[in-house]
Amino acid sequence: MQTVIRTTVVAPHIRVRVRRLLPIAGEIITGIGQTVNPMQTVARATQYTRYRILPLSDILQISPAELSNFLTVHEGDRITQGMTLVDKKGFLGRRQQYQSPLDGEVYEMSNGRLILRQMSEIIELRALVAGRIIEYVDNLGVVLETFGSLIQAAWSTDDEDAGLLKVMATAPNSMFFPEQITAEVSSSILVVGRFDQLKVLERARDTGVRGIITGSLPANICRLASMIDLPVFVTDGIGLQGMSAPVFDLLQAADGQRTALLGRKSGIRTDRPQIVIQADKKTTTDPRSAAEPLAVGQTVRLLRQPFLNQVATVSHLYTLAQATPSGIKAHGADVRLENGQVVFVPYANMEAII
Amino acid sequence: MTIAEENETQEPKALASFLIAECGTVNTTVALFDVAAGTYRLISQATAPTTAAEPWLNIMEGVYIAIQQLEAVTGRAFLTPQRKLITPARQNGSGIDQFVAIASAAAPLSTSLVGLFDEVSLASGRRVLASTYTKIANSLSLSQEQNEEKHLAALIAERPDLIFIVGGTDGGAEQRLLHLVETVSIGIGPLAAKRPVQVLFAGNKQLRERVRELLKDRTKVHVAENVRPNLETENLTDAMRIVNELYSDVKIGTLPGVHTLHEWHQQPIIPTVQAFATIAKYFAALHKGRVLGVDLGSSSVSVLVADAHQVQIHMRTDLGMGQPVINLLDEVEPAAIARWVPQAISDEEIRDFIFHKSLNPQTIPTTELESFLEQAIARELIRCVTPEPLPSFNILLARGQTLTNTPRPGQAILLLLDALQPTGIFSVALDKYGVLPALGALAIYQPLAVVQALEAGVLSDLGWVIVPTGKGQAGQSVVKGVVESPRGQFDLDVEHGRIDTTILDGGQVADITLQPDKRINLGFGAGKGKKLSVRGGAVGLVVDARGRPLAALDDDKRLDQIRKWYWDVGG
Repeated sequence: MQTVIRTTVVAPHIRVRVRRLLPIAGEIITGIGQTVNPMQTVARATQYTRYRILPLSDILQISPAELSNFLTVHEGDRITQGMTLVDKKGFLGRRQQYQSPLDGEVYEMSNGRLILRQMSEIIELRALVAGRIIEYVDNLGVVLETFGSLIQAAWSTDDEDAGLLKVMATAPNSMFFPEQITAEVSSSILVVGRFDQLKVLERARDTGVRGIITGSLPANICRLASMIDLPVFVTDGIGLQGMSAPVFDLLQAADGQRTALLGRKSGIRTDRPQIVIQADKKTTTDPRSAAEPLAVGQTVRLLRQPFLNQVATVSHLYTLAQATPSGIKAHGADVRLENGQVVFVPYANMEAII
Repeated sequence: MTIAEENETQEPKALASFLIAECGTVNTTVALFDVAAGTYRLISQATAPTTAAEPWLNIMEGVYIAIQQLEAVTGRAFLTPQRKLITPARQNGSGIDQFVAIASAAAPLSTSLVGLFDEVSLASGRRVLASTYTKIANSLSLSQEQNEEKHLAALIAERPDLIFIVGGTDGGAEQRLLHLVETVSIGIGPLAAKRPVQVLFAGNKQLRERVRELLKDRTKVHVAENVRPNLETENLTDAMRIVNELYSDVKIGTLPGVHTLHEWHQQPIIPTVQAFATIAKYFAALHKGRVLGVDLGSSSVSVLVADAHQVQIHMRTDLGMGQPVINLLDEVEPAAIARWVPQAISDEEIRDFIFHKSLNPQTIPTTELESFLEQAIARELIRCVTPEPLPSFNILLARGQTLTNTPRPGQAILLLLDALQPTGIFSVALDKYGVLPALGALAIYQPLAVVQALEAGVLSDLGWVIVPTGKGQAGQSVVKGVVESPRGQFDLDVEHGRIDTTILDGGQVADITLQPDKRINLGFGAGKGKKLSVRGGAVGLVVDARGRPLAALDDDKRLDQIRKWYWDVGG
């Protein structure tokens, strides 16, 4: 009987495929097969957030059907402020004109009304990782192929950036304090075990830190972090447990390497925030399939108390539901903790580290 | 012989076997109903993770795994080695006569609600949308101090799946509503260019053709009966039906891998809440009473009130025990949750726990504290959705993992009493196998089989509850009575402020004679008693004389009081 459980990728040196997507449809400006650098724009979109409705047939005192005879612009035309939109010659050489009140685009003519939209922002999507474009995702973005390590985070702010990794933590659960952020670490992505002061984020932002990767973070700081312009990535969970050993070991080994934090939500994103640490060396190794059935020997991370955030190895899979200390019966497995203790854990409360 | 050839040579059995898959946001449950020992019953069920999202991106993987588990438990084959469904059932016991799919795994239908006045047509529109998996992205109405340009920008920015237009009484004013429809018409242009946008019009019926004409070149317009044909009448049924169909088409219909479910089922996939509403209505008809249904899901919470003819559904898709549980902190303070936990716990611990649960919605509690904490959260979630005033009812049907996973059944009954704070006399049943929606689907295709399945014990009867109302003082007797059961005769004497449990074994019928104090009402009038026959259950007969609403507890007494309540219901 097959059992599948949730998985988390914590994989060193693999072939990584990164989806880079715009929040809205736009234009892709890189070609398939093209190599890009992290700061290179791969796609862009124009955001329109303001609309103007001009009741021109009322203004000109003509019927809606007649209006098209006098328009000097068409749907989709770019317009600038002061540009003539309508030009009507009347009796005795009298002319009636109407000028555009804004820079933007003619959106539509509807029932005698001209609808204009004002360009408010051009969104540029940077690659953030060096790699090769291997696929387009409609007119939303691209899939990039690169090589290096990949960590799926538990949570992140809706943000992204890239920089060099700087491991500040000496142990997976070492507490981090604002005073540890100095000018020397500006432009870096900091790796810390855990922290509980908002000041860490404020000081990091003010110092020019590119992002923070932490093992865990209390819920109240997570909520406030979303309001600070700084990518914050939590690898393991909410609270003050710190970072799990496999994640810490991988990050520690990657100290100084170019890293991308990919946490921006595109609206259609279903995947989790990703930390991509780039390597120069190529590989043909792909990440393990997340859909593989659970097997004895699999490394798992435990997601609930009393073993929250502990890493263990599956030692026995049960077919029938077993009782837990709370009295609830659940399907699950025996796992061996790092201290050698063997305990029963429901499948629902573990995720395979692949 | 190929399966197709074999199918041609075999006739399906007279009473069809059913395999019913329910794909929720976290778990997929597959239930097998068939005849065994001469009775139609739930043979077995199996659960697997739902696989609609990353990394699987194919809802069928979870369905296959659950079916394979079912095969392992029953020894019957339902899938070929190529994972094709074997249908109809064979003489050797393999295969299935009918497959039915139910789902709530899709994201809610994002909806822009457009209407004239907030307190009239939009209020009715909101009630329609609360009947299924929808999320109101924005509301445009004349009540708002926004001009047409802002309405237009809001409509386009939200990119809704559905634009639901209500407003105007039949034969009433037309121009203002038409003006809003024009704005919608303009907004649909760029929306429809990206993906289809559905429009449902349920306003002034004299405007239907005009609305169709205005929008016909841009999108398909669905038309329902006016939700407010006049100011005194509300007519939600037709619009609710169409919104449900749209959820099924637009959201469930686009889940990755869903085409295989369609091949197996060949009917529209039933939204879970509709299947639950169907079985609640079935119960109401069967027992000639009113049913209160509670579904505490991972990504939604619904409370429904059903009689034999209609069902009122109150649903929130922004709340649930899974990912949306984080939104509970926008509704209540952590202290409101802590008040139900019989152990000391800080606000920070509650916030951290809720955030963590939101990130790991599939997890279950394995320590006593976390079990109590999830139950406390469940109380507040249900409270957020419960209509006020809560109508009286005869049967309470409850489902959801938090309720069915309580270590002792008394905890589930206490959770429901605290959350709903109901009054009167009613029985309580839990959907312990998670198959109530499946029974709802079965009721559509094979209604008589449902009675047999119920009699075979598909639900967990917790017992009966009596909730007296009226003023009382602590220590004062509010209800006296006699219970005559196969175990013997017992006297009842329940004091105000207490919760009292009498053990009545499952299946046992007991006659109880109740006499309330002259100021106390059991639902028959102040001071009026009655003789009743009740069935036992996992908890028994519970008299909840704590008063309504439940009084706030002093901090220094709270832990002792909560522990006592748990103790008193055997929890």
